[in-house]
Amino acid sequence: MKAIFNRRMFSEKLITSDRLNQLGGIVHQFPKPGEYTGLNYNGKQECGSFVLTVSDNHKNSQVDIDLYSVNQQIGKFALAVGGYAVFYASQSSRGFSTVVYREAMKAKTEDKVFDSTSLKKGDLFYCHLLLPGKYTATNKIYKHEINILVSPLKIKSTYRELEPLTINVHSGGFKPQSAKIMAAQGLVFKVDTDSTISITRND
Amino acid sequence: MSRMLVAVSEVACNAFLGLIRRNFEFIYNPPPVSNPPFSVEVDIKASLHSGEIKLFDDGTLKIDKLDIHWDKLNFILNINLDRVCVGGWCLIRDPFWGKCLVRVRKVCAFSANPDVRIVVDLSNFIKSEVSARVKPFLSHFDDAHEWRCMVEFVGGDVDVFDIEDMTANVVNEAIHDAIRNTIPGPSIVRDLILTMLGPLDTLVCAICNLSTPDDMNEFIEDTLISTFKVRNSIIEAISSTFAQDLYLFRIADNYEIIKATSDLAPVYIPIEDIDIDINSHEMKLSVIIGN
Repeated sequence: MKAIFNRRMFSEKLITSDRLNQLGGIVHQFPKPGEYTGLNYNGKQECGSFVLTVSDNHKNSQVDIDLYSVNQQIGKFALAVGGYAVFYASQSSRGFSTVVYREAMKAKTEDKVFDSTSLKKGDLFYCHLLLPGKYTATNKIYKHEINILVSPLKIKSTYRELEPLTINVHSGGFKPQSAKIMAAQGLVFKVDTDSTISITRND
Repeated sequence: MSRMLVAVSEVACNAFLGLIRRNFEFIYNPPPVSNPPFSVEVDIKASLHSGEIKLFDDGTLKIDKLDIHWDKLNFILNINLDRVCVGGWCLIRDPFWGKCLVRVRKVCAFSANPDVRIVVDLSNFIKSEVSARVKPFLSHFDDAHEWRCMVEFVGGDVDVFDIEDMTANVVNEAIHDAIRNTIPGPSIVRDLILTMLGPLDTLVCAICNLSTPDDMNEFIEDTLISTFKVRNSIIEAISSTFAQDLYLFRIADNYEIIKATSDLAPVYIPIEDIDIDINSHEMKLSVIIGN
């Protein structure tokens, strides 16, 4: 059998929180119980939805919601109160986003509790920068930038053992103001202000 | 009632060897055996060559030094490269208990199962011989009006299963090549994946559970003999060959002892019974001539 190689994993030139591909994901906490509805978008086109039940009846602290696979059907998920939803896309396409409302489908704007195109304080955006080189991360809302140098992986064990690097995103900019990581090492943006994080490879 | 002693000729023995070689068939492709992260399978075809017959005092014959010619001995490894993944690390920990609350899912480079299929033809690297012990007996076939010296299969052994030293290198190199060929370019991607996989020798050792790459020969031998029981299967095939009513020689029950000439009719003698007597020097028939 011929290997099915995930070519997109190594060819994505842009990783951005408002259009998720398979190299990035967003973590959002749901502190209040309730029935939530998410509307998913592939690019600008609505492509699917899901229902998330947050309740004390559930014990799981994490639920993974693949915005690609709930493309065609209504996904149903459950989470403990205070738990975290991890939004990701198992396939890239045009890039996926989601808007989560309290209660009913197509609810009013004021019922919006989460919009992946505009992250809020407490959200996390993680990504995998695989290829060595120079990258620039931008908070598109504030136009802040940070340079990230990704050095080549030297030995196999390195990327498994390295902790992900965390970068804080404040209204004044990124902290630290530059970063160095190893290829395939995790990178986490801890959001403290309105953010849309975008990362591009410069060479 | 008269008795006549007859020695069985070397020609008859050699003809018998030829019969065995022609009737032996070994085509073997058992189902793959899975041992994650790999599975192994074999695809084998073998024939017999040369050989000699030895006589024993216990009345048996040993068909010895039959070379097994491996017409095809494909050793097939199917490997999953599921190690080439990123992610899987803990993103949020419980501040009090340290338990991971949120773990990032993995993204993997390969998703087929298996990712790599390696076929190595070992037919030129393994030398084997088989021997079989048989006990001849005489049986009368009424329809054919003849006596046949049949053989009963007593036992067999694959005497030698000699894997050449260089086989380990050949298999290791084939695995390396297959993995390298599975990884597409450009070189920046290839280099990264090869680094993520780690040294290929180490990877192969981990997959096949070897201490060093040189242990590959032992792994092959163990796979062929213990996992796929190739040795036993060959002996079964030999046994099946003898079960095909092969006979060492045959004699008409009305034996033409003097051929016809222009003046005289042929002379026949009726053979009533035959005993066979084998010792380590010769095989003799004691033919009882009827009236």
